[in-house]
Amino acid sequence: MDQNDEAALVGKVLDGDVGGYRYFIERYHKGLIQHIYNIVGDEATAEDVAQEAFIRAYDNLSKYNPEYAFSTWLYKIASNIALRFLKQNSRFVPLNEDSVLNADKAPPPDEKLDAQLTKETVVTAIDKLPTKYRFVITMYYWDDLSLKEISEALGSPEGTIKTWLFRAKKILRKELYGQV
Amino acid sequence: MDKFDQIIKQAKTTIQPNSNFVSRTMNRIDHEEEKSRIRFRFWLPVGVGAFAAVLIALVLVAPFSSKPSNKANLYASNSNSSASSGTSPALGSPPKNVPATIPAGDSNANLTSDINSISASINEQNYDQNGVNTGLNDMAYEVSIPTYQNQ
Repeated sequence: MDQNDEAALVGKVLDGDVGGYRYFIERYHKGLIQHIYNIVGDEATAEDVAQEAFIRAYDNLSKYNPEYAFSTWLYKIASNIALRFLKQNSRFVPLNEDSVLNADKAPPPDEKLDAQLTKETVVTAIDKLPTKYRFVITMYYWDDLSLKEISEALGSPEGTIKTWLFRAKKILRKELYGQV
Repeated sequence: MDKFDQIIKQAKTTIQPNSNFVSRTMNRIDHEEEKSRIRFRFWLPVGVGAFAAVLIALVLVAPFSSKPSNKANLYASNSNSSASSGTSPALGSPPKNVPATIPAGDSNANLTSDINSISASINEQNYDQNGVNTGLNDMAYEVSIPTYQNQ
């Protein structure tokens, strides 16, 4: 089913075919839950937030703009809910962006150090990133979204997303190679 | 994609969502839908009933509301105008401090003649060419009171 078919299905759901909405949940729930999990880091919370996102999308279906992919719109709703959740339940105090970015140049990659980096270390470092950088890193590397898709989902220009990605990597380098 | 990109990419933890997520979410949507239907079924008759009640009340009250209140206002203004002189004439009677005749050259004389002509004009307009009352009696009534005061 392509974007036009999905837009037509949205129309049917709006006309009262509630069952038609099941298609959207079946198609997007795995990716969406994974996306939210990447941000919040908790499986149960990710499912709750995803469910909330699907319900909110259903309630606001009349506001959906068929020019964009349904998934982009859904990710935007989910990201907003996840962002609100993070503000209320942050596990880490985010790194001070300015102090990290203005610090000395990030150490160059070192193969010996790379080998010592565990998955947990990297995840913890990502969790400590300022929220917008964490969103960009997880969406780009883990959800395999393009810069354009991230820009649509977060409502920021593509150039800004590129800058955030660059800075996020710089902070991560500093954090990871500085602590190993 | 350089080595560092690979490190970030490999740190991803893949999770397997609960198998009943889809049906659970659909159930919640059905439930919400049913709740809003019930809400609609409950509030629609209440809203229509309240609107009808207000409409009926307005229709019932309307015939009694206009004339008595106008009269009351007029009598009230009549007694107010006499209040400054310390007199309290009976309702509907001319105040005692109004002169019987209007002195020549008094600016009130012009006002009185204006009022008289307006009153006459309104009284003429009260009836159409077939002699049917056009409902301007209230206005004629209102305007004719001050005329009465000055005579």
